[in-house]
Amino acid sequence: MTFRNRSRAAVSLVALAASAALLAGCSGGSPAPAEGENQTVTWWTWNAFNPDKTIADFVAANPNITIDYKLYSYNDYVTAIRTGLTSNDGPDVFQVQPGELVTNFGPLAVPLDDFLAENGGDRINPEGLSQLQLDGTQVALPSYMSAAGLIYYNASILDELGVSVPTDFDEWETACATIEAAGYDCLAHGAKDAWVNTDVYLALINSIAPGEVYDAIEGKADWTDPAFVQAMQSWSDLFTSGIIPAGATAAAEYPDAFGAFLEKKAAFIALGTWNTPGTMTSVGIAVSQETVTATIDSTYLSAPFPAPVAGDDPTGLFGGPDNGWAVSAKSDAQDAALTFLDFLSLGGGQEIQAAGGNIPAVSDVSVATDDVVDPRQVADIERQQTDLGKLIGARQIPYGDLATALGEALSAVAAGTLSPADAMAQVQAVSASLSR
Amino acid sequence: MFQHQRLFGRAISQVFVVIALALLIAPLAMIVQTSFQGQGPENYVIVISTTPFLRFFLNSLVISAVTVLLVLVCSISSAYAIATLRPRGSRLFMVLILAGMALPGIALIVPLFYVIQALGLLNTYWAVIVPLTAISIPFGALVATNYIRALPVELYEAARIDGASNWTYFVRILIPVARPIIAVITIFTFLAAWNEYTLPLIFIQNTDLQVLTQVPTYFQSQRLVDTPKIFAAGVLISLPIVLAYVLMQRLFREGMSAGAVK
Amino acid sequence: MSIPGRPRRRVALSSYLYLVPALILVVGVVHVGIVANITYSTLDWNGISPNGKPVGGDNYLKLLNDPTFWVSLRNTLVFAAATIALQMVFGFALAVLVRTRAVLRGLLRTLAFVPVVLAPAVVATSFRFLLTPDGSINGLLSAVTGQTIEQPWLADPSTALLMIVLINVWQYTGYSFLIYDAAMGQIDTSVIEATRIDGASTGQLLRLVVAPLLSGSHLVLIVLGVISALKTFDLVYLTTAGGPGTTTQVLTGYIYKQVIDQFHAGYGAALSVALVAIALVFSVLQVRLSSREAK
Repeated sequence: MTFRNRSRAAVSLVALAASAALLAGCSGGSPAPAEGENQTVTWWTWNAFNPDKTIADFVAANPNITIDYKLYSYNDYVTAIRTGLTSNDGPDVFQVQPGELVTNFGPLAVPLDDFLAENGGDRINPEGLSQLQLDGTQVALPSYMSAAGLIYYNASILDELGVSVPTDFDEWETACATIEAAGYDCLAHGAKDAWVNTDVYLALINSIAPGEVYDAIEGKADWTDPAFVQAMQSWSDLFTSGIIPAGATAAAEYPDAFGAFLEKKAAFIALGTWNTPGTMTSVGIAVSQETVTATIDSTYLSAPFPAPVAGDDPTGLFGGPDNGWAVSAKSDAQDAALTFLDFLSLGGGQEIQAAGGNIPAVSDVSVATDDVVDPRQVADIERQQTDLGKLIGARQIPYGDLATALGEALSAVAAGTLSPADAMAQVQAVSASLSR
Repeated sequence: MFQHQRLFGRAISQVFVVIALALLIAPLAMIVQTSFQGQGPENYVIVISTTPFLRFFLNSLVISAVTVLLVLVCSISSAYAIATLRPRGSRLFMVLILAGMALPGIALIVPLFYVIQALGLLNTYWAVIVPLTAISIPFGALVATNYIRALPVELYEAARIDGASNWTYFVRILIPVARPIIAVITIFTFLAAWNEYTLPLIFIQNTDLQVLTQVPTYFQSQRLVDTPKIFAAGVLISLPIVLAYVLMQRLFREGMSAGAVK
Repeated sequence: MSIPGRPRRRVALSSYLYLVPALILVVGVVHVGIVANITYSTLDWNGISPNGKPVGGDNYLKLLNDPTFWVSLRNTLVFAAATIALQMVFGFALAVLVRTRAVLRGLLRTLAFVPVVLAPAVVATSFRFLLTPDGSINGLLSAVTGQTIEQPWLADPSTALLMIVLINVWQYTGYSFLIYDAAMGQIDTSVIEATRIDGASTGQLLRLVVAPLLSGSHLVLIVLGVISALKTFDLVYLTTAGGPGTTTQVLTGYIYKQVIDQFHAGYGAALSVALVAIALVFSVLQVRLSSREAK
């Protein structure tokens, strides 16, 4: 073999490695479709309500647009969306929720202020819009409205035992004693999940000192103030007084706690209006049925979360847009994506939410009550829609580190490893260190 | 070695063998059993028919095969340079290559976001292949270097005296002689690539390019968790590699142990 | 590293070309990545916006005072120590058992290695469901003991880390077994026979003769064990995701959480630099060890 051949051969090794980069360069990205042709809108979500009907209705009205629907678990979603929003193969329409997702992914979304002005955005619940803004820019539109501050209860169990719906902790403890004696758990709770613990904490503090928590979130009040410590003490009491059964710290809200509630193993669950479809409408219950093995045959109703102090008013509802839809600035089908967004938040999508029992984001569509399984649920759902018009504040804490700190404090107090006062001191330390 | 046992010793070892088998088999049996709950064998049909299973299978195969090939080329050729050719500075190069030996891929997650995007690799097989190859090379280079060093010096000297070039020696003599260590590197790298979960999750969003480890995610969303189908998917993902192991047991065993001992 | 009897040759430039493919990939990904990490670690940056705010060494100060970092480090070390010890003991025991005349020892030899080839993602996901309060493992325990057992193994802070250790031991004892199996196969049987003739019991034989002869294997398993413990991510992420609280958080998981869930890419980079420094120590150890073994 000559020297020339030899070095060419060695060079070929290098070429093989380098071909990686070359091939990659060739295969990256796909050409954007030309105007007027059929377009595909890629739709990413971790939680879409009735996606099949949504897509079918939309495509029927817009036959030149195809929806490529992708459902993730929430954890996978936040992982994938990060690169998805900077790549050409990512989503055109993606899901956010108020708080950190809006803060961090909002800059990668198409601003929607002009779009709203041209398409009757004033029909949308103002609270639904404000929580999806970033520095005054509208980055997403709400899918539907939801709020926490409620307990859902199994009316079949309560009727069977002659227990009335508790309005404060004293009544609740008494009720729980009867319920547990009959072999049911009282309040099903997935204390593994910080979000549901935070919901309950907000329900407690919003009864003890209505609205003050929103000052603390903004740094204008101290988390170590007596009301906040008292609310944390009440949180601890839920676990020690037998309202929440042992083992709850190990459970997730979905599917563990919710499953136990659906299967008539527990009498109460602390959830919000987003559970109305899955517990009160026959279509929604059919969906819930797929998640549990026992047949769902109870009647479920909702009530305000009981006041920790007897004589206090229970919490008002707190919430806003349950989640929202944004259009990726990288989208190569922005017009089609905006058409779909219009459908989701202002058009037929809202009818689908309303028909299913979710509270629509637009004020001129009323939630349907004709699919309820028990006539008592009609008034219940109508009350939810009315109360959603007078929210006390938001569910999410927009500062990630503060939200994490509160979540960890609640988790530690629930596990009994931290005293309420110490826990609030930790939260305050993080709150004081934030640059808001 | 321990076959001259008294009755008591035999009984004891028999008990331990049975316990060990039970502990090994029980979880495997539970996984298979759970995969048949609910809709029974139908679970498997649904997993294959409602997900792009075959597509993902092919993608896993392509990614694993290319990764193995690249790791082999890079490891064996660099080991050849380090152990046999030894140009000036080769020791420094060896240190550079081996430094990443114990490095967890997650430690590179922030830079990878940037590098993968800057190179335009996002949503290509290369987004997984390139980082996977890079963190697999140190191990391959190490075992290959050790293997080549242990070969008799005369092998190379004699070939050179017979007029073979470095390249001829590499292709005609070294690679055939290095077959055992090639098997080692192939098995290690293939297992790592086939079983990789995080890199495809982060860097491949295009459904046409995703891999088998993503199949279970089709059956869990926020509220709906279809456990039997997740298990059925797990069994289907594992079957090819378990079959490969059972069919090539000797090769797997020798390969995996050679990797550590020599 | 130069070996006697192998004088350095004067070599053509083309010798370097054999190093180029590996260097392009390793330097391009690993070294550039480490340098980039060091740069990012001086920023307050969410990992998404085009640029971050320079904060100097603040992220490292924060790291020193971050209890979760220390808990993650401790958990990583506890996980490493526990898995290594258990896998070595069980692996050694299996290697002895397949050398007895016990029935089914061939099946044991085959099956011991099956979990090793499974994807950690599949193993972790499976055990997450098997270990729930109403999962199959509690079902089996209830059937065996006759009592209703609904222990939330992975969600109880007092058992969660132990469970993760045991899952890892279940999956990777086969690997330790393999290493010991191969090494025992190379022991000169006459040594064993001689000890037997001297009247040693099986226990004495194992402890005083076999175990010391396998010192090379012990060392290899310790170093490989630490390395794979440092790399462990899928197993923790897909079972407990570090919870309950931070009781099972490990360094890789904490980096992932900071970068992906909490949008602290700058801080995540500082954590990565700490992990790289630890990993580097063990890279050196393995290279030393492996090169020594090879001679």
